[in-house]
Amino acid sequence: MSRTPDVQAPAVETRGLERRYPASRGAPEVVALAGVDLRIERGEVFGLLGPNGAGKTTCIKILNTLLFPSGGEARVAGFDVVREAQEVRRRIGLVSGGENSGYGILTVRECLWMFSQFYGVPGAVANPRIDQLLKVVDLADLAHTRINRLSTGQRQRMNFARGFVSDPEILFLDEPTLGMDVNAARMLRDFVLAWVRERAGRTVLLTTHYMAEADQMCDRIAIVDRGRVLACDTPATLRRSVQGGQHVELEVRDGGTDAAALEGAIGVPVAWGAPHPERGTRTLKFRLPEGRVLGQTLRALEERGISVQGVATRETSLEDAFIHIVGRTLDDDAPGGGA
Amino acid sequence: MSRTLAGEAMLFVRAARARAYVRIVGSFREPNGLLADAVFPNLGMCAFVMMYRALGAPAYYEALAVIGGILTTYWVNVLWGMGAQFYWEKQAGQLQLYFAAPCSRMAILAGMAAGGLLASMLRSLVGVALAVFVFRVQLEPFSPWHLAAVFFATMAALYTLGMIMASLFLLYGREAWHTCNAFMEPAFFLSGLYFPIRTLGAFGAVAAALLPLTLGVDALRQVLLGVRSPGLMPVRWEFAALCGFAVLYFFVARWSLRHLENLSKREGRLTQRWQ
Amino acid sequence: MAVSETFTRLRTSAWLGWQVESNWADPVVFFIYLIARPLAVSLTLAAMYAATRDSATHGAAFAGFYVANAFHAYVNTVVVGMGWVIFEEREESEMLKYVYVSPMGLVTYIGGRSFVRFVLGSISAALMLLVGWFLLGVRWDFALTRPLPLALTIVAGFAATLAAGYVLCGVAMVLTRSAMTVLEGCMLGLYLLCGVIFPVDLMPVWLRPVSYVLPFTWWYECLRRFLLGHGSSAWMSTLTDAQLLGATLAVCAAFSLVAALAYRELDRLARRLGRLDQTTMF
Repeated sequence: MSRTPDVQAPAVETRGLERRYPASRGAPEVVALAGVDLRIERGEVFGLLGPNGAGKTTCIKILNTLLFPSGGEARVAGFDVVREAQEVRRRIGLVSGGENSGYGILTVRECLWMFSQFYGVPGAVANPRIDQLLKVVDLADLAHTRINRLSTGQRQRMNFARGFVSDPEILFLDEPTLGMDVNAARMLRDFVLAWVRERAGRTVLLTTHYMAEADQMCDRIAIVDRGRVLACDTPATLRRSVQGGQHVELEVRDGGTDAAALEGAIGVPVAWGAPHPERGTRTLKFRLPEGRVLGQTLRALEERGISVQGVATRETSLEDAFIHIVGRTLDDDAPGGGA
Repeated sequence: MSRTLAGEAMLFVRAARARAYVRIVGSFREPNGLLADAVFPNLGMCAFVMMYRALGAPAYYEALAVIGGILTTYWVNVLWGMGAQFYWEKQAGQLQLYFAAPCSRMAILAGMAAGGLLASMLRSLVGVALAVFVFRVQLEPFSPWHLAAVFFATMAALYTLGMIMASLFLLYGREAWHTCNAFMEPAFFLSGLYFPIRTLGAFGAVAAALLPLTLGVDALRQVLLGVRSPGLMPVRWEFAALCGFAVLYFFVARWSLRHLENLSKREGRLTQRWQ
Repeated sequence: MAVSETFTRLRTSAWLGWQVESNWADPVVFFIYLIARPLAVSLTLAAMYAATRDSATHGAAFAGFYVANAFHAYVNTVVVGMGWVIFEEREESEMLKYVYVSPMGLVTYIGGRSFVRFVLGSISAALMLLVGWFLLGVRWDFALTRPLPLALTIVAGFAATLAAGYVLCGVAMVLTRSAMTVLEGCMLGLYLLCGVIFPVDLMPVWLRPVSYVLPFTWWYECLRRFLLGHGSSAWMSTLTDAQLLGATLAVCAAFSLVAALAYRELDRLARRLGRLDQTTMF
């Protein structure tokens, strides 16, 4: 018999979680997770952000009982993912974006029904739930269409609906909107947020490549890289963690001035952005230190003969925070990173 | 969420039923596949029957080749529909969803077996039709109860063996595919599907001890062809051995599935495609 | 230039074929495909013959069936294997579309890949003949062997094998998931229709025309006659050596021509149906 679930336990808790993929077939050992500590409370939408190979998917696999950790401990809904895997499975759902699920020969509805049965959902509960989910993912009209006749986007939406047929306590969304069109992705993001709001204690752990998605959806975000958590906080706090003021983009006449001369003129590091050959200008990017007035900087440039054609400013974004913390962009691969 | 025995049983039944549904529905929705599965195994059988004719063998040999050919349908289903299935599931990204679900993996396998058996029974009707209408196979009077008992004991042993294969192939990548191929013609030979197993002498007896297919085909021939088909052992013994195999295989499958699931989670191979 | 380019491409695809085959072909897998499976068929035939020896005394006929069965390894390995290339490239490595649009083109690529299959088929056939000769007592008098017609027969048979392989490639291109079972079915269908292990005269009358338009029916009969000194079909035995060889060459040439046209049409059909990059979910 199972032990009584601890309703006070956090949705997910990991301590010193490690995972190494042993060296094989000439490939060296890969350390995908190198001591990850996480605590995700019930009711949270929690994001894992990291470049490719940071260890996000490995972490999700371990929490979903698909992979054993090499060290440390992981608990989901208070249950140990290794020793009490069965209890964990009763409470979780998994959606991996960009992957297929189901058999091409089945219709959309049959496929969702099949998965509901794997979770023991009685037909009386499963059927209306499937109907509702089909409407949410805009597949109601295709309910009786075979999966192998769906487009890639439609398959992805069906895969998304599949994650909800068991109405899990804790839902793992691994890049759920990968490759989806903008409207579908927005619709599904809204649905997830509504799903969490309407059901007390439901938790979502999201990995995503889209900063805006993480910013919009997550109550807290952990930034991971090379198998370690580098920062974990609310998106607002992470943004504030970046010192400095506004990000400035100037469109300047392309007069062959080098970056070092410009840095000397305005006193901050600069970077060249895209050229605009049709206007004979280039974009110049820099972050204006707090306390500095943009006007002074523009005057300094004019004094050096650099003609400014346009000015744009923006506040610090989550992406800025990410680059500040990780030291590179989200799309850069982690050298020697895990899956 | 409470975990009671009744709840567990219900979950098992629901999961097995859902998985069997895929098999049965899948069989009917792909006419090409149905045709291929029903007709193709019988082409080899026809060739062997023709060879007996060419060699001037008595009609009884044709009958025993036909019975072997009909059983081939089931063996092919056990190999490809059970043994290699987890390999396909892994390639399709489906396996991880099974293993993250709370239902028993044995429920999935039981569903695959039940669905595969039902679908194969329909397909094997083509072999029966060939036997009756084309080759005019002469049967001895037999008890339908004996036939049913021997047939279902054979199926139980074969499909539980398929469960073991499925669990063994959990770790495999493409090797699962090749291993299934290895169990095609060699198994046909070792089981004496197209000739009397006695031809193999002591070697045949060893094969019978290893492969339930050998015992199954021998028992079915004894029931259907009577004294014309002297068996390796009395039918009763073969029936008992097949039942014993089924029980043994079931528990071995359960153990190996658990063991190999843990091993593949340790090695990170459960969700790894293209090994 | 064009010839050397084609040769380079063929060599590249043959190299790739070897890399693909040898990637999975550890010794055990080589054993399965090149030894265990063909050997099991040979042993099954031998056991069938042994079981009926009391009532049948057709040792020479059995040798004919056995030899044709050994050469059928080419059909199994090359013809079906070429179809498999399409299936695997599309479903597993998802490379088919890239090969298709590359300057090399699919025809050259498949041709190169078939080379490795010919090597594997030869090993398999040789092994079966050796097992037959040394273990199963399937022997013949080499004095009756006619090398020149035999060599011509083998060349014609290889050409037909390659042509049939291209047809199956076309079929595999057009079909999606069912390609797998259809390829296996073709293997068994040819085994039956070409009278590999029985005289084709035993086929029902209405099926015989199908057998006679298949080049392998003629190929096996020629192999029997020019290697062993006797055929197995009563009707074909009425033909002289020259007639049989001529008919075989003509059927193989006609079949190759039809196969080329069929491949072209199937290729177009696959493009029309959008099958070149269509993967199915198993």
